Amino acid sequence: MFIQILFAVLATFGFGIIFNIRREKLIFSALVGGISWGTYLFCLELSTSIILAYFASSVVLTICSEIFARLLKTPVTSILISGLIPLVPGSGIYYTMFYILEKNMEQAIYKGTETLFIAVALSFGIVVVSSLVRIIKTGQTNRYSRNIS
Amino acid sequence: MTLNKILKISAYAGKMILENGGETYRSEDIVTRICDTHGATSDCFATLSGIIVAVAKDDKTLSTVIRIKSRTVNLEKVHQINDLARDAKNYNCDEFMEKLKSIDGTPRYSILFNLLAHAVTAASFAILFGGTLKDFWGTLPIGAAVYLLSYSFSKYELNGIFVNTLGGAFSAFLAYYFFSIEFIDNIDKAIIGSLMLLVPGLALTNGIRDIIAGDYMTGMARGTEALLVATSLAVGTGAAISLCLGGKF
Repeated sequence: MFIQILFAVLATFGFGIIFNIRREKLIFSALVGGISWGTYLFCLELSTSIILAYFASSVVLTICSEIFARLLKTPVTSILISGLIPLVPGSGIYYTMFYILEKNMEQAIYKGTETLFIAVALSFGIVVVSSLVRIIKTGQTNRYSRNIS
Repeated sequence: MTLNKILKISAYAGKMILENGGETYRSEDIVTRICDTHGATSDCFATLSGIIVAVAKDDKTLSTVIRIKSRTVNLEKVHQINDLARDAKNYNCDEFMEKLKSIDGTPRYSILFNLLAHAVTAASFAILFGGTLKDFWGTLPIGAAVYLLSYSFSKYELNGIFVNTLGGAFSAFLAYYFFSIEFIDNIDKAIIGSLMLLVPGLALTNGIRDIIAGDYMTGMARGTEALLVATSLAVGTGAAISLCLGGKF
């Protein structure tokens, strides 16, 4: 498990370079990637539900990135996006399409729905946390949403 | 500080955010924020492929449309524009434009650094998907090769589907070759590890995030992009694998 987390950190670090993240943000985003993958593995030990594990890890990931983004005074995206990379269901989409091309429809539907659920769980985790953060920051209502009329 | 200049700088900033991998809401937010600091009311509609901005001040309304053709992820630029927009009041329009232009010119990491990053990332994913340490070393050159391929084609501004199909086929060929000389243990781990560099998992997740946030157009666009990229990858690797299994190579 420790080795897995180490490689998750390495993968996130690499993607940070690909996404052109600089200086201390790069290190923090790599750290966040490791934390999220660790949470995922830890949840898999506790329960059998993959979807729950993805949801929990995306919640932890978003909390960490919100904190680090505030510390470093940077948009949350620049830490969140690369931290999300190890969790993201890229292989799922690929396998779904691969099975469809092989005309193996049963496997394709199975993989496809699983991938969709994972993506929904991940994005739901992010949305939940960022909505909560917005609630906590009361008084700072979005004054830029004024329209021309 | 004419209205025209305010429109120009705000639309340019919004366009740069979208081109460098920022979210649509962030781009809209920054456009309205910049206009607000210069005392103009504004409205903005941003999608993945274009941005429409309207600015109003003293009985006068101007608007512009900017088409966005190429998109990459360059989060350093997003960070810098975000910082700049937050203290927009310290600059006048011309200085702001200069600043934006200089941000647009910030370099990426060097090619060698990128090559290393791609190689290490691909190899790490091979391990994360359950590969052995031998797979790690084997996937390093495949990841580097995928980067070299996409980098050498990036000059020609080709269709993404073509490059992805080629990349998928290339990595599958290399993986089979390495397997045949016993350089790696698992073919599928090596292939999917190196494909993680091209695969659109992030696009799918972000698309669903947009849909939940109520940004249906962007969400659908991202989802379609993800499906298309995945299909082209699968076509490429599928073709290569069936050729390899057919014993033609």
